[in-house]
Amino acid sequence: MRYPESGMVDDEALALEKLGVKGWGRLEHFKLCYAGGWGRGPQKPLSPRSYNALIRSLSVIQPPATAHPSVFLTDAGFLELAWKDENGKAVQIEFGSRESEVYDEGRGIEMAVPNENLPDLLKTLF
Amino acid sequence: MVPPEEDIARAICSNHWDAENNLISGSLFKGSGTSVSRLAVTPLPDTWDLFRQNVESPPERILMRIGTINVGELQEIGRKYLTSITEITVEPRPEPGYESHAEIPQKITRGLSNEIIKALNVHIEAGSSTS
Repeated sequence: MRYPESGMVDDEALALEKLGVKGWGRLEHFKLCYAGGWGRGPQKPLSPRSYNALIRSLSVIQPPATAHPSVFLTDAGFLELAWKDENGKAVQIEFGSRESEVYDEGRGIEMAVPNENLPDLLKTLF
Repeated sequence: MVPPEEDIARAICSNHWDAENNLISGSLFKGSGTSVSRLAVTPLPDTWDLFRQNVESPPERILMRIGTINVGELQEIGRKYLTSITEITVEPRPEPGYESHAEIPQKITRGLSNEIIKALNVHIEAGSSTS
């Protein structure tokens, strides 16, 4: 898999800073092991556009200091970032290839947003 | 249609499970055609091996947990989710060697998926050393 818009070293440093060692490790695992076919059903390979959307978003968001963001990979091949807010409510962002989904349980937000508008939205929310 | 008295199981694999944070991905039930297994056909102790044979795909996708829920409770959650009220059904979709296979055909939103996850009974395999 190639990540043409990313500077790999900078990306990894950013992921390590914002996600911590465990979150960074899961992201690397998904990059290394899920870029091809995986699963026995309709699972799709990790989307490079999803990866790029996550990296761009990491540069603008700052999860609470007590949060330990989790990284998941959906069956559609999209990365998902999740943590609990200070009230224990779910915050989740699923990075799609063209648009992403933002879910903030505490604020009652569940919306899709084009990836080009995602950083601006996330800046206002997190 | 699977009756509301039955319980169903959903595989929770490594891509959907963060052991460090003890957190399940909110996408676990999201979308349409979500695959589940009927515990009335295959009891929970046997579902571990069933999922390993039909869901797990090592080395990437490892079965970590099994989530179970009563069908009637699942349907009630769908009816009470006011943001997007959903009449959930569970439809039998038996396959060769996987007679207990069933699907939730309705489109489940992320918010509703999160509500379902809250109600899940999450099981760890007896004798498992995984955290």
